[in-house]
Amino acid sequence: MWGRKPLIIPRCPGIQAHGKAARRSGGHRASTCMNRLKHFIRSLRNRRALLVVILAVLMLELLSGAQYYFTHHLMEDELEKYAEMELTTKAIIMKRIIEDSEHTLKGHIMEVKRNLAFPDSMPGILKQITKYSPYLQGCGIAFIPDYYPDKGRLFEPYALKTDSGIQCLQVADGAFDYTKDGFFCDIMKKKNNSWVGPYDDMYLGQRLISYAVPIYEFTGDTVAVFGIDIDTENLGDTLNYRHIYPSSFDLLLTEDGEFISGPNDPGLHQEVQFVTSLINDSTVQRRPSSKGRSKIIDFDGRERDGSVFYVNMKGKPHWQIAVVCYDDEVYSSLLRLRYRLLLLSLLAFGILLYVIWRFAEGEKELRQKTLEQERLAGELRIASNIQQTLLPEEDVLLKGISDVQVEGRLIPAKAVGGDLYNAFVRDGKLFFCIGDVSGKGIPSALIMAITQALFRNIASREDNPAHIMRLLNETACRNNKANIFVTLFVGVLDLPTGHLRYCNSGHELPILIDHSPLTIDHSPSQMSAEASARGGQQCSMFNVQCSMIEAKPNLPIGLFDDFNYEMQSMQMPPGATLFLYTDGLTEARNADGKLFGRDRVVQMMEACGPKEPKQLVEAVIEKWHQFVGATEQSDDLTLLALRYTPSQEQNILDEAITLRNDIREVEALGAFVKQVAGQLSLDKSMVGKLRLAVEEAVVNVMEYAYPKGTTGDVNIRATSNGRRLKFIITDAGVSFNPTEVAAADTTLSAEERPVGGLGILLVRELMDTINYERIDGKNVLTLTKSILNS
Amino acid sequence: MKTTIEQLEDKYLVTLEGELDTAAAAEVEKTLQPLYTTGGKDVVIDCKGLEYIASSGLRILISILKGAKAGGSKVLLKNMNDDIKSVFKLTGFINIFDVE
Repeated sequence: MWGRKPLIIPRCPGIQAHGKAARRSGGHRASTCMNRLKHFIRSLRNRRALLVVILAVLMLELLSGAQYYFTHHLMEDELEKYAEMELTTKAIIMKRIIEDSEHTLKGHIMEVKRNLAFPDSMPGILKQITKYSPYLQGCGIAFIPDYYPDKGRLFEPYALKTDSGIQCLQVADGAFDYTKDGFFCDIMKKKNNSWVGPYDDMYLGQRLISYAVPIYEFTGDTVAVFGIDIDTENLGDTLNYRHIYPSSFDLLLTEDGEFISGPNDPGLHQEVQFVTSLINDSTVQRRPSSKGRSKIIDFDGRERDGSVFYVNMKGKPHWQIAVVCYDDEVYSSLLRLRYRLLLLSLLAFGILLYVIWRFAEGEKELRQKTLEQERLAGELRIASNIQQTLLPEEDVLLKGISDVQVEGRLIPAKAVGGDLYNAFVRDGKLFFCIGDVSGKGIPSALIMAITQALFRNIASREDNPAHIMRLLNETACRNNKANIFVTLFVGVLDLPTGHLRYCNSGHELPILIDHSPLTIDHSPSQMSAEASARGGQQCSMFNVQCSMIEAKPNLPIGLFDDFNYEMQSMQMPPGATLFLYTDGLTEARNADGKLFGRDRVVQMMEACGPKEPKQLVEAVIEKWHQFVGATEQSDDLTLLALRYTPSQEQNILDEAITLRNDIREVEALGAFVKQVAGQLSLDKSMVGKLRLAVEEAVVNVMEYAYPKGTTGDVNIRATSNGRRLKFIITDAGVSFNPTEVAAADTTLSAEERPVGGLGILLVRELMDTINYERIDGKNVLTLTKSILNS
Repeated sequence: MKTTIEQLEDKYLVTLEGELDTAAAAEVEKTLQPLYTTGGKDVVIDCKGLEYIASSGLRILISILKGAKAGGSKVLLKNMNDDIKSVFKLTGFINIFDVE
């Protein structure tokens, strides 16, 4: 009976297309950003990205470190070169001073010797020497004791450079005994010219270094020591007039390492002492310079790290010159470079981190999007399946019904659609509907599901299609903010009589396919010129007549909750087929944009001839497929075909009884049922059931169809074809439909159970079908029961 | 239809015989009306001779049951034939009466 519902695997456009990672929209709050960053950093732990970042940082650091190392090495070389140059230059300067001083002294020896006999000429000579030599602090001749008897025991004329000019002094005035002085004794003993000092001159109160020569008499005896004094402070200034680095300084030491002179800045006193002791400490590690003769001592662990470069001057005196350089100055440019590089690498690291972050974020978003899409696709698949299950199940609802054949198909354009159809049999009536929800997709599908469920619900207690439509409309109008409306065609086909009542709400008009001339049954008030003009497309091929059934369009449901839907009715000829469809059929377009059109549908029906609903539906679908070809389906397609095939068998029994609406008449009813059962040879248990059902139905009529005080008849007619027994209970009372009475709830407790509702419950339970029709001002209640096995 | 009530010390014994259809229900109800208030006594209904019962008959039984339950007593149905029992099953009465 029921065509197999096609399992439709809906197309879900857009679901497979993952697309590019969508750009994040701006305007995120900073906190969200921070949270994301934190989350990102947390998530990095298990990521390759972390490895990449660490590797990049390590590489950067390695490069930077290597560069630093090589540059440091280069600069070290440069420093050695500079230091060597500095030492060489300073040595040349010192040598010149030494040589100048030596030459000055030596150049006057002869003059002194010539004038030995004239002691008073000595100051003049000394004055002249002092005057012309810029580095000399003073110059003197110390005679051996008692050399000039008239000059006293000691005699040492001395010329001293002062701010106010050159003064001549007689040092040996008894206060200072130079014969006990180191340098005098030294020279006298060695009888050789030599440098003496440095020493602190008690008399002048200065630190001096002196060069002295012995003066011989013609006898060969040493009679005096002739010497010049050089102020070490002066020497220090000369030595430090220029430096390779701002805080570098130069020192002059004797061959033995005794400090001669250095910078005169008192602030550097400690440094000078430290460097001097460093050079004199034989345990300190020193290395040779690769650029010359100097030696290098590196020192650290002090306030400033640095290096001392020192070298022995060539020739006599074998003094040492040292220069001190501090690392912070030497490598300051390198440090600056290092800091800049560090800053740059930090920046690069930041950019790298940011890029990876963005990449990871993008990837995460893409993954989330993909997941989301997959989830949506899955949900749509489920929704699609659910929607398919909302459609009437094959065989279930029409089981055992031979009076009608039904076939329905719904082919959604998308995963879920807004079309619906339903059909089921209750109380000898086929309730059916077809509908189309405005719009597409999920909102329509939701409304479809609601409408489908509501129809089933309302039609299970309501027989009048206009009432069903009205109730559906009221619900659809409630909270209809989306303004979704539904076109619907609701029909109720009375199976025993073929009486079709229907109500349309703006839906496509169904087509009636009939062999015999069509008879339309409607009241004149329901006639409209429009309906008449639309109906009656008649044709004669295969003796098939196709016509749009006349139906007032009314209004789609969901628009006005107080709209009065009108019911219409007609007689379904035996063997006729009603074909219902949605605009997915008539408005389908092919590749050229042509419409399928209603005429094509009608032509098809005419050409097809009488067919089973299943064949008819399949033929239409095939035609539709051919027509649209590869064009994308733009709307849901729903088809519903029902064929009225009433059984036309001979009755083997036809008995009737008429009772007054008096409870006491019921006794006669019992006898009537027993008599009928006897004719059909039914067993005792079946007789009891039939009697109870018929009695309950008749009592119901007596109580409700005829209000208290009114009188009337109830006719009970029993017919049977040998397989089924049918009781048709007719009365002329007020319209009363017992099938709409709620049956008693059998699950309630004694206290909760109402006294009523038992009668209709028993009728439903005891009989196979119960059918009510109001025909020609009469209530017609038909009860049937299969008697095959009884 | 024959209906009798026997009042014992602690209970009422009701015997239903015949066909309790809608027509007979009015008379049966008149007979059994005293049992709508049992005064704490249990009601035992013997259905041995009961051949038929319609919903009007069932309504009388449930009225007795409601009265008994309100008074804290029970209603026991015994000796029901299969057809009557099937009606009790259909209506769910089998669950609210004590059936022997």
